Amino acid sequence: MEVVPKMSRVRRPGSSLNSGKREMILNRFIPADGRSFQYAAWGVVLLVLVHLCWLQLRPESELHQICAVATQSTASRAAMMQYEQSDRIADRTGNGNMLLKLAGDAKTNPVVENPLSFIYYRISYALYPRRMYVAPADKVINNGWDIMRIEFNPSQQWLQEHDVRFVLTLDSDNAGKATLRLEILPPRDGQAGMPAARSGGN
Amino acid sequence: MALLACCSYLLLIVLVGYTLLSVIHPSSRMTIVQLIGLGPAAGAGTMGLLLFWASLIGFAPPRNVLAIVGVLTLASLLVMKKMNRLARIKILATDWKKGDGWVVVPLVITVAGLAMIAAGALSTPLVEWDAFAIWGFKAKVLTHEALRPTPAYFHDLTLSYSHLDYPLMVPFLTAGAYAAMGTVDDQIGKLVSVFLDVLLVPMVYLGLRWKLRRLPAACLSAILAMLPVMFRYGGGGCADLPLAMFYAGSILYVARWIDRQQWPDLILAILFSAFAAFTKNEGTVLALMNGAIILGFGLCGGRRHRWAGAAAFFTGLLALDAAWLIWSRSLPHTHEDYGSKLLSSLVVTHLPRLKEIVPAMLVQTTEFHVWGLLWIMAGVLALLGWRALARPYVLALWILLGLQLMSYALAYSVTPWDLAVVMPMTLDRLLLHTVPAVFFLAGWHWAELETGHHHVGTIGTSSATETPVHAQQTD
Repeated sequence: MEVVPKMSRVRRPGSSLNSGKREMILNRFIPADGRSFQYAAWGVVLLVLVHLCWLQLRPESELHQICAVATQSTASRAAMMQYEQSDRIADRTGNGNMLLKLAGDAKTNPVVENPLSFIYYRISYALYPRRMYVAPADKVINNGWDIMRIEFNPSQQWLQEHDVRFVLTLDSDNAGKATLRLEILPPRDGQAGMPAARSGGN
Repeated sequence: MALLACCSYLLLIVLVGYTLLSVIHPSSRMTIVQLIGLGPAAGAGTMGLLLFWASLIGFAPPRNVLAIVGVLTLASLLVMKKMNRLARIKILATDWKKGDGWVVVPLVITVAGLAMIAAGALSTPLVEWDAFAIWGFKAKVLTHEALRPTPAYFHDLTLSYSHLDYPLMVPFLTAGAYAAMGTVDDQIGKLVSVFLDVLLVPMVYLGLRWKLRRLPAACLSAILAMLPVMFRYGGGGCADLPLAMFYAGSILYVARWIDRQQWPDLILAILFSAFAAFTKNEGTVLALMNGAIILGFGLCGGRRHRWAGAAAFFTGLLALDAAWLIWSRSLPHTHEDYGSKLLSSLVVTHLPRLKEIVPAMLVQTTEFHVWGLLWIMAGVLALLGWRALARPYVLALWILLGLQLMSYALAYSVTPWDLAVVMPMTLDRLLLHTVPAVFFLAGWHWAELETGHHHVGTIGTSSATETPVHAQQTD
């Protein structure tokens, strides 16, 4: 379908601006047919393009980071370790659900808030459709601080009702370095070796 | 095998898009860039909505739903082929002109940039916090369970951090890939994210080519592909670049509708606005702004069919997103809940915070290691090509950009988070949503400087033809 111009309705380009103070003022500075302004536009665009290419040549550029990850450099492997550790914990838990507990300084140390958030987000993602519990279902958890504030400590019965088979304990030393410990809960009567019911609800 | 299945799924998305465009604009001519940009973008949005509707009926995205979509698509293509209504593929939109040979340089830069983004994304699983905690998590939920009955996840407040009320376009598209693969593999599943994010470049190129010659349009597209912020978020698994991509389509066709009032443009504007609204909550606001602009320019134009255009826009948008709006109404909101806060008196009481927010936004645009000199370039081009302001579609886009920035500034003003913490973390991602408008404005202003510049039709109104500038001024 070709575009057919309706000639009866055709207007000269920019004709609506041929009157008015704005044009009169700006025309003094930027003439309508200034070829130098076309060159200026090209100059600016090429400068931006060259600058962007130069930015990516710097050692700290995103491009270098991507290369480091793609080639699995030492630095990128180190950065991926926390992800792999969380995913390994999720893999080890089989069919059961998990409880995340805080111990020692981790209960109150604000430095723990960030790693705690990461562990909860990442393992919850990796575990799904199994669950990692940190609070009763009606408590809002937006970050690690919410988990610390609630201090969830469920009863044995609650753990059994929610098919919790593992407890992940987060502890921290004085320097705020977080350590994780995974415990397997003893199987409840008659349930040993049975696959867990589908989780997701409470 | 999983990789092959994922690629087949992406091919299905491309076919769905091609079919949709052939339906909207039968027997048109489609360029290669339209085939690899507009078609997949329309296909992705359509597939996301189809999977959502299927899930609402009770089907978690299984392979057989994808097979049904594939069979229906192929059948439609065959029927349209028989009726000679398929869009025909054309290599170039316009004849090759003197100097166009230089287009190889920006093309190589663009392809290299996008290839690096893809390589970086596919070499790791989901590592961006938002990517796994919000979008990846939802994709897993939707893979395992249909939306009827509502999965327990969506009412579990201990998972509130994953924003239970966020729209589901990206999670459904990812869940579709998992269904095609038959397994949840988030590393291969990131192909979907790469596919959606990279589409932003051809979409912006299409918008630029509407008014700009091939070489300058290619140079601006290369700038987009090389932006550090694209490397930072491209293929990461978040929904910001898909939102920007759908938004690019929506504003392009809103501008075309304002310029030419052709119904296929309006249909595409409705579709892309609906896709954006189903991608992120910001998309709903942006879609409503698109409608308001169509209405506003319709009122100024005073023609009846422009009014009808605004009515059709809101009706179409509501029809496509009604299911989501109704279904998500009961979902618990986080303490952020920007929607309610922006409609409350909080906006007024928090206005003084703008004194802190607006300067921070301005400073962000001068972060050269994030944006390069993009914002400065856009300003300079707008100044040099200031005559473009006389064109209603350029004016409309300026208003849209202003409204978008204003809405984001107001959202920050009511945020429950500490501004000093949240703004450095999120501002570059939010400004990423404005990138299509910034590039279109830069390009369309630049077009005013080009003597005897040509306008290129894109699918939806005309075939890939070239018409002199004066022929476009028909309002």
